[in-house]
Amino acid sequence: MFLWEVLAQWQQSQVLPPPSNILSSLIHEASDGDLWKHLWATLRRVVICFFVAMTLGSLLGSWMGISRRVNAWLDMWLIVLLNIPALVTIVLCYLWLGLIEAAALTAVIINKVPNVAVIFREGVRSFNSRYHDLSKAYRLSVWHQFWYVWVPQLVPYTMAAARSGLSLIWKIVLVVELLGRSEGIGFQIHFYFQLFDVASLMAYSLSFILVVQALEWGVLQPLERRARRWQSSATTA
Amino acid sequence: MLAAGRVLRLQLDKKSFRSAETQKVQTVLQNIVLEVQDQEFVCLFGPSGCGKTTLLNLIAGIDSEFEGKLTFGSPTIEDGQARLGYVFQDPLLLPWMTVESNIRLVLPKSQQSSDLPWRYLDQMGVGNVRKSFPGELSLGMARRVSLARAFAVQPQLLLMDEPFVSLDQQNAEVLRELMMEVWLENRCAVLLVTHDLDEAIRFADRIIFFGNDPTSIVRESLIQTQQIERNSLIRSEIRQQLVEQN
Repeated sequence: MFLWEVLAQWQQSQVLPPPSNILSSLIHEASDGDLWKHLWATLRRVVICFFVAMTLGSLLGSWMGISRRVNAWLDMWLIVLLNIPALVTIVLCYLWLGLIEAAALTAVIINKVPNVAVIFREGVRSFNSRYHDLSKAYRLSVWHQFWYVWVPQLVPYTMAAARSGLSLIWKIVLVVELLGRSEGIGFQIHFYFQLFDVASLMAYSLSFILVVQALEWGVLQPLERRARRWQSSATTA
Repeated sequence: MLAAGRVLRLQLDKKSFRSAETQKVQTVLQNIVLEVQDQEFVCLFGPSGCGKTTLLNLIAGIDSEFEGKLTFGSPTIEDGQARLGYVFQDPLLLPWMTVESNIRLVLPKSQQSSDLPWRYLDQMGVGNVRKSFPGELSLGMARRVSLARAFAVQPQLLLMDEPFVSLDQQNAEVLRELMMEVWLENRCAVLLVTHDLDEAIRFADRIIFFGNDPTSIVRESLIQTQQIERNSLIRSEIRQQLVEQN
């Protein structure tokens, strides 16, 4: 950081602003500028896409994990979707649905669903069949089986999908905003790129990196610690 | 129709498996008729790998693919479904739930507020691990919890699949004593799978011997002496008789 500061101050280059400039730009945008408006717009999109993609992906993946027939039927489509570049989906969604919010959200969701589905499919396939025996012998209700036997086995897979999901989704949301939205971090990055204002561009990027970090520390990690309580107690025994 | 007091009748014509590798169908169990009366302790004795566990799984409903008929009976059984307890070969506790939650999970609604399950846990000597996770328990302790769980559901039929294997002699002996103690207080029908004849002699009202290929019942022996009266002398006499009968 210090080296960067010294180097940037010495070079006085426009493409590599010193960290102090980025920070002052961030403070300026937060107090006088539109940072909060754009940050909120992006965050809202990320949250919507995250929950929709996680829900659809987990349902689809679990279904494919349970049924061989469904898997045989959908597997090829899953691979196709996994390998379509995000950019293609985004452009096609804008072309087909128009430059509207729904098109932006749909594009991001389509990009993320196959990823979640693949992770959940593996999760369901790795279910321990002995726990199934237990459920049958003790005549557990479907609800009890789902909530106490299946869901806990899917926790590690849910965490993996959530982590990779969050990072992938916010990156794609930025591209979506850059290509066809008039607010959001992606839009601002595009705007400052045209002005060649690298400090503001980096300030906006930094603002969202901080948000994602806050989500990781404030939401994902506490959730994971809670879900894995039984593992830590086993290792300290 | 089931006679009053009969808990189970299994008429097994044939049970086959398809080998995953060769795709060949192999019959493992054939022509078995098994009846268990209420409060009767039945031991299924036979060599390892002869299909005894498969038989228990058929009765438990874990595996329903077989030719034959399975009927549960007696007035105590609800909705044509037997309330079963199953002590598996491994303790099979869900590792993400505490001992208490593991037991609560299998309890029928009517027993959720009863303190009976926790009495069994105390009786098995593991009342102090109620709030622990299974990963914190030794194998012996986990086995005790697994036994307490099976008794806790107040089963009409209790299935046990070699519940004392892979424990050291001393531990196994203590657990046998405890199991017998709890059973004598709460008599239910039991099917216990074992390949240890002494174990069978100690517990059984009736021993069913399995053999042949595909496996079927070779013979049955009734033991008249009450379990509590079977001291080591009587047990060796019973053993002698069984060997002579063979």
